[in-house]
Amino acid sequence: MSAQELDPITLQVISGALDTIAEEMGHILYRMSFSSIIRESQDLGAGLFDTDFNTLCESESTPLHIGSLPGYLRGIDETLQGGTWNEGDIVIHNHPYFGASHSPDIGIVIPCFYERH
Amino acid sequence: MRGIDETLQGGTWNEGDIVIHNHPYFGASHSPDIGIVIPCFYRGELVGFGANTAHHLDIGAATPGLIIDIPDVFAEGMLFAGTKLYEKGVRNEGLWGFLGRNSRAAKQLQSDIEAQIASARLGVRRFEELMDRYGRDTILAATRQLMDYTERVMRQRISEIPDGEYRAEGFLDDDGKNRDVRLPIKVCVRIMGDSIQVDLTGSSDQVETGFNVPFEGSTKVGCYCAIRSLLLDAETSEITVPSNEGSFRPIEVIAPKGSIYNPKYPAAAEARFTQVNRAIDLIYKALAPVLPNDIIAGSSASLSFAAYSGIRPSGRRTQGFDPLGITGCF
Repeated sequence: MSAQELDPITLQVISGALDTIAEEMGHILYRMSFSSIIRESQDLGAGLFDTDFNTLCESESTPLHIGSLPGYLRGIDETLQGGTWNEGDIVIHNHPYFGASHSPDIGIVIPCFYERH
Repeated sequence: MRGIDETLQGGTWNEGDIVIHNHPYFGASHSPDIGIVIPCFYRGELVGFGANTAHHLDIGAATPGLIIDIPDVFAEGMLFAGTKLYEKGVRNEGLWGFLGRNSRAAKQLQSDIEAQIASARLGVRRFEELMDRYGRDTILAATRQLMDYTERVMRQRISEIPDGEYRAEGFLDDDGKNRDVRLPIKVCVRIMGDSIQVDLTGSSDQVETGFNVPFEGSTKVGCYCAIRSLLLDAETSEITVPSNEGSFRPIEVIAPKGSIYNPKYPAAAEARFTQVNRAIDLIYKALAPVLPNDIIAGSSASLSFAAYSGIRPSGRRTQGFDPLGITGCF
């Protein structure tokens, strides 16, 4: 990863893009859902994370979901089926003793591979 | 097998598939009895199945051990219907991990399932060996003839009983929650020539607890058990009659939908033992006037056991249940 300091304008543009991505993810999730708790109450949280599981951006949804996903990612890291991520994998995870907020909050995690990394 | 036929993952059987199935509304006897089914392909053609079922210690129900005070079938734990644990020879590791993470007795559950797989695989292999030795057509013809033979003997025995309606009534103490509210049980055995109808109409409505009986997997089987043990008892019979499908064919079982012997989905139906054994006793009682020398005395129709579960000071989980005094049949 490059250590270059970006100029403030580019940085702000990327920050806005990340913010929009998280918001879009949240919108898709609640607009496509069917249950009253997700569709109407927006009991959800969505975002992007780096490979160290740092939160890069998050949707403005339910306060208690913001910040919970890195715990899921660490829990998945301990339990991942087969031990490695492959392109096309989708993980489902809700174990409260492996980082989930509580069992009804089901996490869905998809790895992002860019140029095979 | 019929329940799996309705629900089979992907809709088709492949060589190397292993199905796990325990859904009480798709034919399972009750949810802790997990069925393992392996298809038998002979020279590329599906010719049958090797299957077994066994009662597991813990499938992740609301509480450890056998359970009664639960609102619906979902509280019984993990439910599988036509689910492939192996597909074309490859184990679904996600499902295998899921089984382990959803049982209080994960090691026993997984190891017992492995034992079931070994048993079913052996059956499939032996069936293939039998076909290698005698030929596919001979074996399939023999199995058909043997089923027909058993059916014929069963029908002869039934014919010896005078036609008529034979009735008996009894009760169960309660549903495990509404204490001392008795549940009526009514049995009518109709002998009609060479066939039998066991009619449980008039028995209690389904109850709000897990004290209902899965119809396909337990009510029907309990009635088969009563009639088979009465008319085809291996100990007293002068001829050897193979235990196969033929013995079920002359028996029809009726229990109205919504009754304790045929609950509506999603009623819980996990603790079904005593009701089945009470029905068996009442079938005997009903037939006592016409089969006085064959009828055995009633059983207690109950099962007593201690269930325990907890964490040892060492952090290890301990779990078990020990049947203490078993009478009747499982």
